[in-house]
Amino acid sequence: MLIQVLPDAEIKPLETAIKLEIVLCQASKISFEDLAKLVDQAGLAEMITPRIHGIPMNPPLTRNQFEIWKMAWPTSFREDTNRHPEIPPAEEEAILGHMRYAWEQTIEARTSGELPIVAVIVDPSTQKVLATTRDTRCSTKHILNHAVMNCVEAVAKREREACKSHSPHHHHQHFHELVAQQEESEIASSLVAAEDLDTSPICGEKRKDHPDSSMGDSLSSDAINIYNNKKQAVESSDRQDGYSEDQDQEDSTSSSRPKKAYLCTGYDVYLTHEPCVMCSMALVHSRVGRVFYTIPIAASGGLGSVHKIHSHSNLNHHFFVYQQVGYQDAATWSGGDSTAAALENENIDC
Amino acid sequence: MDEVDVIVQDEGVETEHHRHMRAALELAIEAHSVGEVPVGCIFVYEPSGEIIGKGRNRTNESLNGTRHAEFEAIDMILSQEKYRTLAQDSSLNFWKDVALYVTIEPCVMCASALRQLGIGKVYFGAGNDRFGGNGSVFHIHKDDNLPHSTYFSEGGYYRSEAIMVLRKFYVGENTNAPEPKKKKHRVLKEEL
Repeated sequence: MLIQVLPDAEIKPLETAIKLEIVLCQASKISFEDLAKLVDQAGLAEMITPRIHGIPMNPPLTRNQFEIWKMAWPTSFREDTNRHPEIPPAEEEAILGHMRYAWEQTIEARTSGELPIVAVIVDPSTQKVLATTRDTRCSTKHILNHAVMNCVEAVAKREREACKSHSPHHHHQHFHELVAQQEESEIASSLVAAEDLDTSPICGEKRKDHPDSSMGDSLSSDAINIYNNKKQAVESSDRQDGYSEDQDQEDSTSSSRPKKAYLCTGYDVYLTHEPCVMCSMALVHSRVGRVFYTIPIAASGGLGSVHKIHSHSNLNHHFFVYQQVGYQDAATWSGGDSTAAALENENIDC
Repeated sequence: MDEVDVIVQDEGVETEHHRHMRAALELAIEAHSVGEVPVGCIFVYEPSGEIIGKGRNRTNESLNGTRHAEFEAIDMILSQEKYRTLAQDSSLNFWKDVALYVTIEPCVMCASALRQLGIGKVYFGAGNDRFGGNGSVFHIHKDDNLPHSTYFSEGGYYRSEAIMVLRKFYVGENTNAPEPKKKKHRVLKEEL
C-alpha cells in the first residue's frame, strides 16, 4: 500500500489548504473497512477520508459523454470518425445550400460533355466557397483529373496567388518550413529514426498547434473555436480576391497565416458523389475537416463503400463523412436529370 | 512494414531495375536540394526501355499536398500529345507496358491512381508504414474489391539508399526558413 511506504517525515499538513486526491486502488481490491484501518494505522485518519469514486470504464464515444465524464476523471477524447454523424441541425440549412449549389453545377458539366461530378470546398468558419470544380477527365484526356483532385489544386492555386501578392518571400518560406514539418510526421515513421521525431521541440510545437493532432489529446471545443476564429481572421485579412472582406477582422494575425492555412486544414468538402480511393486519400493529405456527399459509389467509393479511408487507424488524419446528403433532392437540384444519380451503379471512380 | 509482396535483397548485383531505381534516387536527391520531401520516380516504357516520365515531390512549391512524385511524372507524360493519344486508345493498353520506379512505396492515393491508369508494374525502394498503398497499410495494387486490373508490385530496390536520402532531409536544417530552427539534437542514424 502506498501509505505504508511513505516515510512519516513527508506527511505533514500543508499550510495552505490544498486538497490533494490520490487514487489508492480499485474499490474491489480491498474492503472499505480494511482501508480505513490502514489509514488509521498510518496515523493519517485526520487527514484522509477515503471514499469510493466512480470513474468511466470505457473511453467516451461522443463529445457529450466526454464533457460529462471528464468531470469525474481526466479522460482524453478522439471523435470516432467511423460513426455515421448526424448533420448538426443548426448547420443543416447551410450544408444543404452548399450541396444544392454543387448539384446545380452538374448541369453545366453535363452539357459540356464531362461526367456530372462536382466538388466544392468551403471554409466553415465563414461559409465562403473557396473553390468549385468539376470532373475534367474527358476534356483533358487525363483520367485522373477528378473533381476532388481539381478542387484541391484550385485551393492550392488560391494560396499560391495569395502568397505571391502578399509579402512573397516571407510567407512562402514560412510555409516551406511548415510543410516540411508536417510531412515529416506523415512519411514513413520507421524510415526516419523515431527518436528524431518524438523528442523534437519543433514537432512538439507543431503538434500542439495543429488542430487535428491535438484532437487526440483532450482538445476542448473551445480550442477548436479559437482555431477557427484565428483562421477566419487570417483568411479575411489576407484574401486578395474579394472572397471575404470582413474589414473588422484584425490584421495582426496575418503573419501567422501560412501556419493556419496549411493546405485544406479544417475545410468542408461537398461532393456530388463518393470519391474514389485516390480522391479520398487526397483529402487525407489535404487535412480537410468534413466531407459531405450525396451518391455512394458501391464499386469504388473510398469513404464508406469499399474502404473507409477517412477513419483508418493507420492513417495520420481522420475526418467526418456525411453520406447521402440531399439524396432525395439531388435529381431536382440538377434539373431533373438522372445521369448523375445513375453513376451510383456504374463501375466508375469518382 | 506490414507486408510487401516481394522483398528484394540488394546483393550488389546491378540489374536493369537497379539502374532505373538509381535514376529515381537522383530525382529524390534533387528534391532534397530544393527543400522538398526527397521522393523521386521515373516511368519506363518497357518495350523500348525509354524513360517517358520523371517526377519528384513538389508539395512545398505547389502548396498542394497531392503533388507527389508519381503525379508529377504522370502529368509530364500526359502533357505530351503522343502519349495522351496512346493512353486514350483503350485497345492499345499503353499503361500496361509501363513500369514505375519510385524510391518510396506509393501512398494510397498514388496506388489508386496507378491502378486507374492501368499501370503494368511498380518497383519501389522502401515501404511506407504510414500510408503505403502497395502492401504496407492498404493493398490497393491487388485489392479484389476495387475496379480496374490489379498490378505487379515489388519493393526493396536500393531500399537503404532511399531511406538514407529521407533521413538526411529530416536531420537537415531548412535554410529557406526565415529563422532556421537548429536541429542539432538530430543525429543521422546510419544503421537500418
